[in-house]
Amino acid sequence: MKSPSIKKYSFILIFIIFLTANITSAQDSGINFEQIYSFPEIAPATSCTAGYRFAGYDNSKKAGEYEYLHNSISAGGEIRLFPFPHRIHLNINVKNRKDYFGDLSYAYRDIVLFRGINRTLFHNLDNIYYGRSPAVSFTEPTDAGEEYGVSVGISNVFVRFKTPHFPFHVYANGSLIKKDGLAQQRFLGGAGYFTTTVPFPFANGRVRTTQKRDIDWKTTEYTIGANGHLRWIEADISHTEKRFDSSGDKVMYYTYLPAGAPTAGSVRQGGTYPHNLNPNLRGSTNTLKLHSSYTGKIVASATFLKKDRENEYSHAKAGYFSGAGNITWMPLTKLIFFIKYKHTDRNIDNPVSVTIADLNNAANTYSDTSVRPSISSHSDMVSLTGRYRPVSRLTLRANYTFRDHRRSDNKAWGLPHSTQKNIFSISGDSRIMAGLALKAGYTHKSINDPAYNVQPDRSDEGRLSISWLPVSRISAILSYGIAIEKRDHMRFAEGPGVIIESPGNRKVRRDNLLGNVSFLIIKELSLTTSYAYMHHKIKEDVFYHNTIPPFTDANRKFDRGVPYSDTANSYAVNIRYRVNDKLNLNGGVTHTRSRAHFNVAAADLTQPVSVASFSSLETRETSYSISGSYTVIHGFLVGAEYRYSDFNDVRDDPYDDVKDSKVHIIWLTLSKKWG
Amino acid sequence: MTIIKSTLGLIGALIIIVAGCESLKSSKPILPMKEYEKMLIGRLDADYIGTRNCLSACHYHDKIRRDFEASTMGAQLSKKSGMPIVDCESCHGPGSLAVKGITPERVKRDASEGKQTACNYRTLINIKNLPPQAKSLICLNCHTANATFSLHNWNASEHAINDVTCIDCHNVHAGPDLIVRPRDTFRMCIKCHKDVEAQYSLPSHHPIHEKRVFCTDCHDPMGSTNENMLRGDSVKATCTRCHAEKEGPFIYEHAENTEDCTTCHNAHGSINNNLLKVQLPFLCLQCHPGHVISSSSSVDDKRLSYTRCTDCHSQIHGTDIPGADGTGTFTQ
Repeated sequence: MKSPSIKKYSFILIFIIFLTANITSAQDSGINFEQIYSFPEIAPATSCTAGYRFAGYDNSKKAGEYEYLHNSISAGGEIRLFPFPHRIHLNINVKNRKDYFGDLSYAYRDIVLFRGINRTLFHNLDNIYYGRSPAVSFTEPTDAGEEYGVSVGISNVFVRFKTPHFPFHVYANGSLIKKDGLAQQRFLGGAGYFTTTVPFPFANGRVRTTQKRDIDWKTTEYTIGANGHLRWIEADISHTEKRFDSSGDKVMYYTYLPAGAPTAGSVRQGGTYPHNLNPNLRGSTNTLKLHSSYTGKIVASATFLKKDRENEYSHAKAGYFSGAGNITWMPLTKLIFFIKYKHTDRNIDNPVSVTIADLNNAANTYSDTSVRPSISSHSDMVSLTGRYRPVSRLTLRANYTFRDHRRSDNKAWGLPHSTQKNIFSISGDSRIMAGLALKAGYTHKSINDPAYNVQPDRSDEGRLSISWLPVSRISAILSYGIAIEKRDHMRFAEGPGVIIESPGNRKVRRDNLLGNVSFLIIKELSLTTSYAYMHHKIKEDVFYHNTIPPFTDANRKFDRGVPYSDTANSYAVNIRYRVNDKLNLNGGVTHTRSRAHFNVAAADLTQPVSVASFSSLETRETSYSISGSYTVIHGFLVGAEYRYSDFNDVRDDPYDDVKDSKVHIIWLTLSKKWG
Repeated sequence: MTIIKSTLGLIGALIIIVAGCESLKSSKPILPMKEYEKMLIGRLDADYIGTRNCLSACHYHDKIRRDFEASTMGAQLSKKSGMPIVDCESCHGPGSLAVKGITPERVKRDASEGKQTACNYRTLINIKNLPPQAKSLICLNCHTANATFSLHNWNASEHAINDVTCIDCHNVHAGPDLIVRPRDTFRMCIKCHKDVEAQYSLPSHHPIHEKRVFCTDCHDPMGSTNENMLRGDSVKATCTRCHAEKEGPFIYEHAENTEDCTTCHNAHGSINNNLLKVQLPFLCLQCHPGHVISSSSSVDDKRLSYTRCTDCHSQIHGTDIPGADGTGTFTQ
């Protein structure tokens, strides 16, 4: 799993660029380019913005999930400099100390190219209310009233060096993702599990517990690589190192009650044991890419990738290999074939045993000595697509894809050794007449030995889309898609390798309807309206037991044909009005209604209360926004923006994970432009 | 042994590259650009006259020319001539017919009368009405021989197959910065992907409206070896670029489910928290038996076992700590 360090690769690549640079310079024609050609002169363009942002909320922060809801000074600016042969572009936007964006690019001729982007935002997280005392409802909240959120910073840097006058590049790519804040950790407390020593119905064997967790995570990923043009082919090689480092509450502890012994050797004494560990992870990737010319009659490309990952706590290891290629063949200008192939190997090596110890008494340990081996797999995919354009207004496409996925260690999981998918699709688009275009597509899938119940045996999917410009000032899009999936006899894992088949089948239907109409009322005034309907319906058997083990046919129960559905309706109106050269106004309203529910019928699930009632969902979210800018004088621009969002939990269930929320933000800015 | 193999492999590849560099000086376009030539049919009688000569006829496009020459494409100078390698005629075709009959005297006269001297632009390549593939070929004509690996999978990409062209996303005349700004990508992508725009209006979504996550974080619009043009080599590799804490491997894996995050999550948006495809507990009940339950179970028992499965099974993406029942139940 170990691979040469990134330093070693860096050294070799730097050596190569020096070598190639010398080859080039030795053969330089000696032309003084500046005497022949002078770069154009472009005046610098700069702007800056300062402002103040008022932000407030009622109840939860859901309506402003990604907003740092505190009043703050804001600032921003943009600089474009072209002191040729240098080019510099800087764009900064700071909403507040937890929400900002920066983009810096620099280029020297076509020899050096640099890009650095940072974006940071604040993600407000839920504190799900458990409410009642543990004695009543098996809950143990320890973080009532805590406010949670994580600051997420993503930084990407790219730098590329090109040798002069021919395309050989050495590049480096880096990313740093930092997450810092507090989150609610939910886990199973009490005795920590369902023990056979606890009488049924359950007593104090298990407790839903919450704790405050300090998040301090850092993900770093660095790539170095080189690519060049090699007459017949072009090649790119790269090496990537990736690390995930967890600080803060890397692991959490909880004082568990003594647990019983459902299986030999699994006794756990009461004590303080670790839970919800976030281990450090590391890995590396080597990639080789080769491709031919992009413009020939036949175009081919291939990608080979070898990747390894290691868990630094448990030393579980994963190795991946993938080889992918595609060929594009154009026998006629009207006809093109696209052939793709991909092979993937996935090898997981997880330890067969694990032991955890009581924090306060190392003699108290708890072991699992028969960990199921993780599933390794090999898969192949081949795809053939044909595209035919008989006339310029009509394009037809057909695709056939075959996938074969083979698993090892599958028996321990009760999964089939292999699963094959056959996918056939046809699609076409046509410009029927000026201003009227039609797109249609149909896909059929059949799957042999699907491994998981959410995979169908067969599915059919269709989509039809019409775009219409009846007059030059109106454009309309209407699109409808439907997908139907069917599955016979679902398989439920009752225990490791113990599979129970359901008597019924599974049906899924998804409908999507989209409509969008834009009006250009006058040259300065436009109005866009849109509507979306998304419906998802599932009907399948729910499997459960109505008495504790040992499980027999007598206590294996199926609630047949349980329907689940969720529906969303979304409406939006946006208006843009350029009143005059100085004044611009924008406004918009978005309203989304969502609901989800499933209906059980068996008395076990409905008496004395239906379990479905715990997870019904119904929400309405409305957002209003209005903004405007006015050019005052000498390049000064005054801007104002107001946004109000109302997230309404229609059901108002205090135990669910949805809460009412109202957020309002006012943002006033003053900008100045130069150049 | 792995180190030795990796090092040997790398050195071998580098030797090929170094050897290849020597051939670059004499290299030409790899294959005949037949399609590109076909695109030019009808204008083979025209001559290339150079950007300056062409634009001096009217100067109407001087700003566009200046911006273009200030871009990375324009900044590349020919080793032989010292002039830009890419200019107006690289895309628009030879311009001699367009300026035929236009003399400096006429331009001067027109200018004195306050009007622009019109050229016969119809003799240039009519890019707007070219077939989609030919539009892209204008760009690929140069980008085929400059080791542009962002285009590595372009030709068989979903976009290429579905007639999306380079200039649908890249406005070559927008200014000196030709690269697409990531913050602008959502606005560009939803011009076609209206269904995705609708999904982002749902209560649970990535911060794409806030412009802190970009479509291009997950998708490579120029093609990839993965489905849906995902940027990683798999769904998991794409998602764990940001959600690395869930990448693993762990002692206890959730079968193969964590290899494909879309088994449980809708990446673009969902009505359910955490982008879940289906409400809990129904999401889990699709594959797993429910907990032991009967009509004599209390309300609290039922609420405990049939609300959010992940309240207890909170390490559902994988864990190194066993559940106390001796198996990987992801509770701790």
